[in-house]
Formats: sequence, structure tokens, C-alpha cells
Amino acid sequence: MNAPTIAVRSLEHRYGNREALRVGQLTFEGGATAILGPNGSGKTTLLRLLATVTEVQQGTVRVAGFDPTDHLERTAIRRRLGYVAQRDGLPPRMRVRAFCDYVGALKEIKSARLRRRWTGWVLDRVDLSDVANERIGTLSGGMQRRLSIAQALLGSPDMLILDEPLAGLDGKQRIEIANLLVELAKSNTVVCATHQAEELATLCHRVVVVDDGQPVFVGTPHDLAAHAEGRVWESETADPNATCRAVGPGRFRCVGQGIPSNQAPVPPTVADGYLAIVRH
Amino acid sequence: MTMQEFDKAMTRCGEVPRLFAGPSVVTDPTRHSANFAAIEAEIDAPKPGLLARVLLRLGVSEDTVPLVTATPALRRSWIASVGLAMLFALTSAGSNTGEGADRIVVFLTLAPLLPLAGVALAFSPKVDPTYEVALAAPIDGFRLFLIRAMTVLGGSTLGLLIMSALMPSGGLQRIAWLLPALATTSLAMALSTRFDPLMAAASVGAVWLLIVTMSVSASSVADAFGPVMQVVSAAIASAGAIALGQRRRRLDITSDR
Repeated sequence: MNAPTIAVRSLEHRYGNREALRVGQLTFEGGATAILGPNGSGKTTLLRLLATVTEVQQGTVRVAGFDPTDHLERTAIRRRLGYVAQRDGLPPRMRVRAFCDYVGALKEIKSARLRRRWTGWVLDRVDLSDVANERIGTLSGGMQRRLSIAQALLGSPDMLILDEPLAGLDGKQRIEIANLLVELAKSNTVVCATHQAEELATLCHRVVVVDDGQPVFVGTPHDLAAHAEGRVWESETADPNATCRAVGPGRFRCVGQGIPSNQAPVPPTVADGYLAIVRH
Repeated sequence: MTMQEFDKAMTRCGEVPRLFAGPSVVTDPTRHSANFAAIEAEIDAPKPGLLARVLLRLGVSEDTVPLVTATPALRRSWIASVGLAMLFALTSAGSNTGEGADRIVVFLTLAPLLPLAGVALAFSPKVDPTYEVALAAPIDGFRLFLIRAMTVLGGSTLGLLIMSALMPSGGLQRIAWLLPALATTSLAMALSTRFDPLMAAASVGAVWLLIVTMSVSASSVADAFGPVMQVVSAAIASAGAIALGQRRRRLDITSDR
């Protein structure tokens, strides 16, 4: 695999007086990395910095060896980047095909013929060819999310930065997009922020858990699951001293500091590992 | 040819599908799929819209046309509101006769605000849902900004010039809004490198209204929009353009400070 590496060091980011992000050192190598974290934990801020959308306030970011604070190097990064923002960024009155054509022009694909070919290819990848001539506002939420991913694929970037790529998708679509991301991650660097610990993080090579603006875990999904080893049980009541979630009618799965004496441990999952970390 | 017609033709002709699907021609399934998707895209591609066709006929490059036609301020709602505003301005000015002719000030006051509002709507993150997608793309932010600003500026200026020509009286004074319009838009564009374009345009518009109100109350319309205002407007337009050029890199990235 010869995918580009993204590295950050001593990164700090503030919104006014509020510190949003503080990262000592973090490297995203080829393959897929999931950034997990609760709302407001700094995931989107980190992704916007990696995508060169927002200015680096303090620290260093290197994307494929380029420095985004330099105008020319920033452009070099953007030529290799596909980005899906947290909010879809889709103009509702524009037609799907025209939107892809527009993004193609933004990505410096100069020939209209070539943009049409790219448009056909990316819409086919996300199964939107049938609605190419529809207005974006008439598409379902899931279709709009897939269109966001399609625009990111224009120009075949070797780095993909995706903020909540599975948000708003139904079961089948989630599987299809997750499969697509896994396929893309074979030869590219894919970084996605997600809430879905179980669904997406399990498919990624690495997981970074961000809590309160700081990375609190970096490792494989297996390592993350192992973090909750001996701390997960299932019972018919929710333990107020643990993080419990309903997993069936009258059944709760709890992650705590240890197993209560009257319960038996169950094998932990990635989601359990995530809850064990962010709980503290 | 529609896609259905293409499918029929493919079915009738036994050799053509083999050209694309035969293993001796295409062995990579990804490429195979990409080829078919590309063919479909070519066949299904709708005819370019009227504006796109006009721009292409005028010699605008293929990669610039989508950037112009996607300008948020080209929405029908914006064009309709500009049309109404200009009609109002024209009606106000055109209904004046005799000693009421000074009411041309309504037109001269409102006219510079229209291109100003259009430029603000052309690039504000609050108005443009694709703002972040555009930021993350390699296109020069300054180029995109200028394309959109010039699109709106050009359209509204042309409309205002037609309105000016239709006015029954006023002579050269009818186009006394032109340099102030350039000055306000140039200043707002320069301020957009530091502030949100909507806020920049609103501030410049408010200052413009204040200055005009003060000038008109202190002197005649002819003096208020006379040589002094024209020279000052030209100077502000130039200064704004220089400041915009110097700070153009700020249009490539956002700051959360």
C-alpha cells in the first residue's frame, strides 16, 4: 500500500476562549481510521483541520508531507483530497448531475466531457445513476448522504476525510457504503468520524477515540474491545453505576468498572470498549 | 438517444456488447463498470441550460461555466427581488416631473445597494451550502470569489444601466450611481476577506445610506452625487480592489479564531 500519511503534532485549536482540541501526536496511515467520540468532543474540528478547511492555530499538520499553512502546499493537498462535511453541503435546487459537474470544476477537471465521465462513474459507485437528473432537494436523506460521498470520490482522490458518512442511511445503504469505504481503504487513506462504534469502527484498521478534545485511545478495533474485557455483562436491570444500553426486550448490556458478583462477564465488543473509555 | 434507445440498439447488435464485456477487451471489472457508467453519462447527459449555452457561445471556458451557473445569487428568488427593486427605483424616479425631479435620489441611492447585496449573497457561507466543499477543493478561492462576484455584478449593473437609459430625464446624472456601486462592492469584497460577506455588505450599505442622507440634506442632489462623490468613489473602489488583491489568500481557508 502506498497511501499518503497524515500526521499532526502538538495541535491545539480554540473557538474563542473555549479549547476544542488538544492533540499531542497522531498519525493516520494508509487504510481506514475511525474517529469515535461523543458530540462536541472535537471530531469535526480535527477533520476540518485535516481537510485544510480551517486554519491551523497552533501545532503542525502534515498531509502527504505537505504543510497546509502554505498556500501552494495546501492546494497540493486538496488535489489529492475528497471531503464529506458534517452537514451535507448540497444545494437543494441543483440537479444531481449539475452538482457533480460543479464539484468537478472545483476540483480542476477542466474538460466538460471528462467531468461527465467522472459524474457517471461516481454516481454508479453510490447507486445514484437513476436519479442523476433529479433535483437534490427531492432526494431522500440517505440519497443525499450518498451524493455527498459521490462528490468526494470525483477525481479519484487518495485521501478521503468523511464526517459521519453513514448518517441518515438505512440498513442496506449502510452496508453498501461501508463496503465501499472498506474497498477504498485498500489503496487510500480514509479517515471517518462516526458515532457508530460497532458498525464502522469494526471495519477500520485503526480507531481513535476522542473525548473532551483529546485522543484518549489509539489502536485497533480489537484493542478497543479488549479495553472492556472483564467489565461487560448483560442483565434484566440497568445498573445505575454502569453505562447500560437496552439490547433486547427487558435486557440490558452494561459496561462498568468491574462485574457485579451476581453477574457473569460476556465477551466485549468495540462499542463496549468505546463506552468503557468515554465513560471515564 | 435516450438510455432506453441505447439499450435496444445494444440488444440488436450482438457485437457491440462484446466490445465492452468481452474478456479479451476489458479484463478489469472495475474498468468495465467505469466504461459503462461513462457511456451512460454521455448518453444521459442533458443539454446544457440556456445560461450555460450563452456563456459557452460567448467564449467562457468549459471549466468556468459550472462555477458561474452554480452561483447561489443566480437563484430565481434573488433575480426576482432585484427586478422588483429596480422597478421600484425606476418608478420612483420616473414619476417625477418639474420641481420634484430631485426625487431621482431614490434611484441613485438604491442602485448601488443591489450589486452590493448580490455580491454578498454570492459567497456567504450562510447562503452557500457548498461553501465547505468548495474550500476543500483545489480551486483558487480568489478565482471562485471573483467569478461569482463578477457574475452578479455584471448582471445587476447591466440591469441598472438599462433602467437608467429608460428614465425620462436626468441626463448623465442617471448613471451617477455607477462609481458609488463599484466603490461599495469593492469595499465589501475587501472586507469579506476578514468578515462574513453578508455582514460586510450590510455594514457598507448602512454607511452608504448614512452618507447619502447627510449629503442630500446638506446640498442638492446634483452636488450630492457630483464630482466629489465620484472621485471619492473611484478612490475607494481602487483601494478596495488593492486590499482584496493583497488579502486574497484569506478566501482559501476559514479561521475559527
